[in-house]
Amino acid sequence: MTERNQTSKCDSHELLVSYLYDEASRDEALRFEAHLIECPACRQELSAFESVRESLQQWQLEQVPGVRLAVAQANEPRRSFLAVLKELFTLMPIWAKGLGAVATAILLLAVLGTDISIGKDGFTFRADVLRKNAPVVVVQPDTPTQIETVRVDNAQLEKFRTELMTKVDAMIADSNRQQQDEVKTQLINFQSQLKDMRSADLVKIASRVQQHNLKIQTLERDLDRREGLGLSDILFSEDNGRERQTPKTGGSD
Amino acid sequence: MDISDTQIIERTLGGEPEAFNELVYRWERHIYGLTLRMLGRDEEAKDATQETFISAYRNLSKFRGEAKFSSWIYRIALNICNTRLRGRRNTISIDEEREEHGFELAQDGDDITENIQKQQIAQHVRRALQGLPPEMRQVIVMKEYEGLKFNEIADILSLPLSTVKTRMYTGLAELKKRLAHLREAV
Repeated sequence: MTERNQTSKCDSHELLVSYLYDEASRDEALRFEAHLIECPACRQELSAFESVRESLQQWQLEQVPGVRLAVAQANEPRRSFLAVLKELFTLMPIWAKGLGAVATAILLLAVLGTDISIGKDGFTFRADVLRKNAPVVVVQPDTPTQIETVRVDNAQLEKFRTELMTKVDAMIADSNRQQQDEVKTQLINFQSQLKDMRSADLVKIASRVQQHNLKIQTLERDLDRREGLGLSDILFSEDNGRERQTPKTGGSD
Repeated sequence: MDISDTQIIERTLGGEPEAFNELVYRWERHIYGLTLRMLGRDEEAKDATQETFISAYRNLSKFRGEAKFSSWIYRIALNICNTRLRGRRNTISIDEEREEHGFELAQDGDDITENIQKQQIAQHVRRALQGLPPEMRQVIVMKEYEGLKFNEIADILSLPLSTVKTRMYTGLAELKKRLAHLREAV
């Protein structure tokens, strides 16, 4: 008889496990121990499981990383954008921080001292904050491999900047003016539409009022007629009655 | 006198959110141990541990006092682990394991200390556990490493007691096979 057959016939799996972990009741434990005497398969299995348990216990934790749970106060004011940025920076991995630093540096250079332009002379790039007459790199569009350096005066650069700002301001003003004109035109159209709608509505209302008035007049006439008939009936009927009742006083001789 | 988990929860819900950190200190080792043994990867286990405590804090008002806090937080941790495990292949056949990692325990004659042997065994235990289906693995981890009773495990997993014991038995039988070459080498 193979171990597998003996085990499957046993059906003592739950009892074995309870016994293995000292969770069997006293009666269950006695019953299982009696069974073990007669069942070598269960004996072997119990021994094997004890060995497995020993192996499992070889894996013990040495270090537990501390869980940093920042629990915010319910009544604290909302964190500022800077505080959020700070926390984000703390949580970011090193490579992300490095990338962020590089991006910031490039942005700073772009704001402080570099000048990039594309014109008929090609692509111009100047990148040096400290030196006044910094070399300017010009890349010609049709000869991309040739590079020519030109020295540019600070004053010329300043003049160019001023011209550029003036042009940009003018463009912005033009664009604003155009937008305002468009909005004005739309408003006028809208007003006119509203007027038309109002007139049409007024005409409709007047027509309805007239219809109602006519109806009322008709009803009044009917009412008068009915009342008039009734009255005449009453009047006529009384006269007839009186004629019958009062004898004729014209005498006979 | 030690303050109970329930008392800490009451204080947290009563307007002292920082009191929750005491629960974190008490249970982080257990939760980390559980998640590490379930997921088998250190970084993932750290993430899962954080997620567990964050989820527990956010849902603290839903915690019903009649259950133990430990059962509740174990349940949260296991749900998080199972969600992560569903996203990856989580069983390794014995043959794959043997092919990937042939096992040779360092011999005493190689001047390797007992600690390193222990580490090697731990590595293989880790791999053997990862080879089990999650439903067996979680029972074994909670029993062997967290020392929970079978009825506590049944309560956490919302399973009948007999099912828990059957999974324990089947899991141990599977580990017996996976660790057989380990026992032969020792």
